[in-house]
Amino acid sequence: MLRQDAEARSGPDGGTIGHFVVPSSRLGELATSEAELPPSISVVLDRHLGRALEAVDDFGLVTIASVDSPTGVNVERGDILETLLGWSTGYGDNCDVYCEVFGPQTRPDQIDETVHHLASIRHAQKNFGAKIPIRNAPASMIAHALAECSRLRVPLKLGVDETRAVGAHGILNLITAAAIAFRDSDARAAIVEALEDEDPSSFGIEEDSLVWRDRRFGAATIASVRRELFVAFAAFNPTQPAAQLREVGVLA
Amino acid sequence: MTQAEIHPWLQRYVRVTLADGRIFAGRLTESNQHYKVTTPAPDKREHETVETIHSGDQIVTIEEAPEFGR
Repeated sequence: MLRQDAEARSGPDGGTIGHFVVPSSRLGELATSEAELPPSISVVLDRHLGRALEAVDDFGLVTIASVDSPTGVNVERGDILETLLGWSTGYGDNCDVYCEVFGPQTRPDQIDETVHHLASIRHAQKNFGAKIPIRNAPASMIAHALAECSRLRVPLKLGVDETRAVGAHGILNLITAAAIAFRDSDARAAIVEALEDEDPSSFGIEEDSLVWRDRRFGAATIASVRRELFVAFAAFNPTQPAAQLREVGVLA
Repeated sequence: MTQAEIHPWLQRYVRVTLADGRIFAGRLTESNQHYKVTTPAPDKREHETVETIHSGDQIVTIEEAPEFGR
């Protein structure tokens, strides 16, 4: 994986690649690897939170840009959020903390509770954000989380396993849905429609704008969305997103 | 919004909503009777973007927009 990452970074689309994602239990492998290390990493914490945070504290090889709460674990359970908050205060504000707001069984009211909690934390800790694992989540749930995060000004990271440009929550679907939610968090129907649109011809780039059907989002709007709402995107394959966007003609 | 209403927000990182529904987040400045919202690059490898607002009348609301993380 490290070699694949290094190759991708030195390739033509290297500029599109962000932090290398590592589970906290595998941080030690970076120390023993002979491959070139990435400039910065994002750590997904394992379920044993205390041990995971110790591993992060002990790691000093490259910059840790962010940590994500354990995958598939409701952060409202037990004292996960409080633990992360206490740890982050000591670690400093230069490491962002993303907390999953839903899993496969989550109800909309549970999303609301977590996003509300994160919004409250953000009064004091600006480095906290939400993480939405896309996987097989229905569009209505993703739309609900996007809208709620937009309404309460909680920045979010979207995580996918397999990327696509368009369809089944493709990259263009997600950025369009986020742009709609950013402008109007009550526009749930349009957010869902943008997520579910499988027709590549619905999306395009005209001059400096992203166009979806009759909606147009200029460069300044997209930059604002990416600064304020849809701040990070995590995917497995580092080269796939750029190649897929090029295939549908939105990347030169 | 009037110049007097906008003035306290100048030089600050804000979220500006226009009458046509567009929203911009960035540093608000004034130049030649126009207003500008400069959004920092989302990533250090990109460029900042600047949106010019030709009149204060276009602005519906301005609110504080604390930057995420660092």
